Amino acid sequence: MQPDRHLTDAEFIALRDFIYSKTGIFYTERNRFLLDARVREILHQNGCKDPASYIKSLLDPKTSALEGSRLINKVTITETSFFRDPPQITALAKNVIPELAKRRGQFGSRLLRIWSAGSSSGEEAYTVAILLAEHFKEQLTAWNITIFATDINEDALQACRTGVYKPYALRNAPHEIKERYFRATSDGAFAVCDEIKGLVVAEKASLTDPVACKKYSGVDLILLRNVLIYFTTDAKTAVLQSCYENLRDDGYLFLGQSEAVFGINHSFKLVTFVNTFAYKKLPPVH
Amino acid sequence: MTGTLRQRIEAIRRYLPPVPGVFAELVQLLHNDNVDTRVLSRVIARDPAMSINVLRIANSAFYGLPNKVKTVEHAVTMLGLKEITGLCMACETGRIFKPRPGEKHVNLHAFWLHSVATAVFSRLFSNQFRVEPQDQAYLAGLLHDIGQLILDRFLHAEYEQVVKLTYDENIPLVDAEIRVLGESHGTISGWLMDKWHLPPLLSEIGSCHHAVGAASAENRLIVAVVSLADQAARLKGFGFGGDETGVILEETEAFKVIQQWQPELRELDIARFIMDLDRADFDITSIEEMMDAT
Repeated sequence: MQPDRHLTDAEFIALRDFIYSKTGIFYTERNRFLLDARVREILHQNGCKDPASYIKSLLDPKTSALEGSRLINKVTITETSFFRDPPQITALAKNVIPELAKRRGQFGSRLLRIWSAGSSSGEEAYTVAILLAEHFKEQLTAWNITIFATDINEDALQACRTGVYKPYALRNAPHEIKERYFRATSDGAFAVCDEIKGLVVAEKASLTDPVACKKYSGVDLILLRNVLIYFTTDAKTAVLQSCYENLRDDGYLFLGQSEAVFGINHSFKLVTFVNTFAYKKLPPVH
Repeated sequence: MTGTLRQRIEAIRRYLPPVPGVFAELVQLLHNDNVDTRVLSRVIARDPAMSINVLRIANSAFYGLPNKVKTVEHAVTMLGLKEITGLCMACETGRIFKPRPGEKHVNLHAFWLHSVATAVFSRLFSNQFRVEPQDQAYLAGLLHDIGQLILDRFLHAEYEQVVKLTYDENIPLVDAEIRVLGESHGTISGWLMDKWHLPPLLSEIGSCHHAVGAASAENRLIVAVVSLADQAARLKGFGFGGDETGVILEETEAFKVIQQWQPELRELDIARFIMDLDRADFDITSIEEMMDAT
């Protein structure tokens, strides 16, 4: 049996291009080692002899769908947790949610649609749901709220639908939140309560598929945190364009704490909160 | 204090303490660009409290001078006139408005941290945007919000309401002040600086830092710089900036005024610029600690 070896340049390029064509995610030389490690895990799980035969099965029409899906699931896992990036959580709780609630409430619509794009296993989507519950309190049931949690990773989407998390994922969540919105399971995990679960809809959608993204139009808030970093410039532009089209005129877009839209898209204006930023749409130029 | 709220606010103007000790002379010297170090040192040396402060500041870890400073003149020579004068004046002002024991008050540590941050950013911005006078911008930054302390002191119950309203409705502090008191802390800051005969520019920065459009045409630019610095200090979370509202910086009066002066600011990545201000963290916390020890 051959000892584990690293991907050759040709193999890396083949895999990189395959992933890019399916997801828009582009592995650079800098994070090549990540792809390398993940492929080796797949090889172990498959009992595959070497990368070359694995790539063959990826490209073979008979096995492509299954292997492709498995690969995408493997390479799109991201680190996520509840109440991630405290300054952003504060801005959402103190500024954005009250503002949106006030506006939508004023015109009697009581409708809020939120898009957690690249939501992985749903921690972010459920965090927003909790913030909404904290804001509206008993009034929550009087509102028509949907939080779309989209991702291309099916395992992650399933985890989102299940809504059970290890304590580590809740390390940043305040104690009262854990008490109020989670139920402890017999094996030491935390299950999201039904009231919160009911607000989140997990769906498969690729951010680089503009047709699929059209479903999430008319949203009041888009969370696209630490997702764009994996994309090429062209893919970033396309995704931000989808966001622009989907966001309501007075809605907010949140990227990751250290990401910025500048240089990629000039259709958004910067809103500064204490120690963090968000974006609003610039009116279209006529 | 009796009378209607409006009467009580007007009365503040009368009750403001007179300019302390050597302040008046120091202020006169500040007006003068060519002041002699020895003249300034002699003025400071006449005031024991201020002398002690100057020596303490000069010998602090923040300035890291190699040899212990023993005379006021030496301190002034090493650290620069304007810098030391500014800090002394702020310390003295803080001492004057220190609440009496047992008196309820806003968080002073948070207040001065914000003021120092505004001062440091004012100097950074005026440097960055090539706006003069930088030293007065620094001093103005230190004293711009003094009106808050004064309002808190003379009308504590009402000011508590103001602060509560700011948090409950998440509105800008100035909006809450106008609603509850009919007056903003900027105006009060301006009153104090007038009474103490500080340079008119300082008074204008004090009263207009939340209303840049109301500043005179000749001073509007420097007022805008301090106003932007005030926002930056608030948004970087240094101490208590008054409120936690969000702001679109490029839509503020302050930014527009500065942009007219520096048209290339349009391309400036505001986000990165403000995030970069982290490099001033150490300076700001050190200076505030120095002031706190008085």
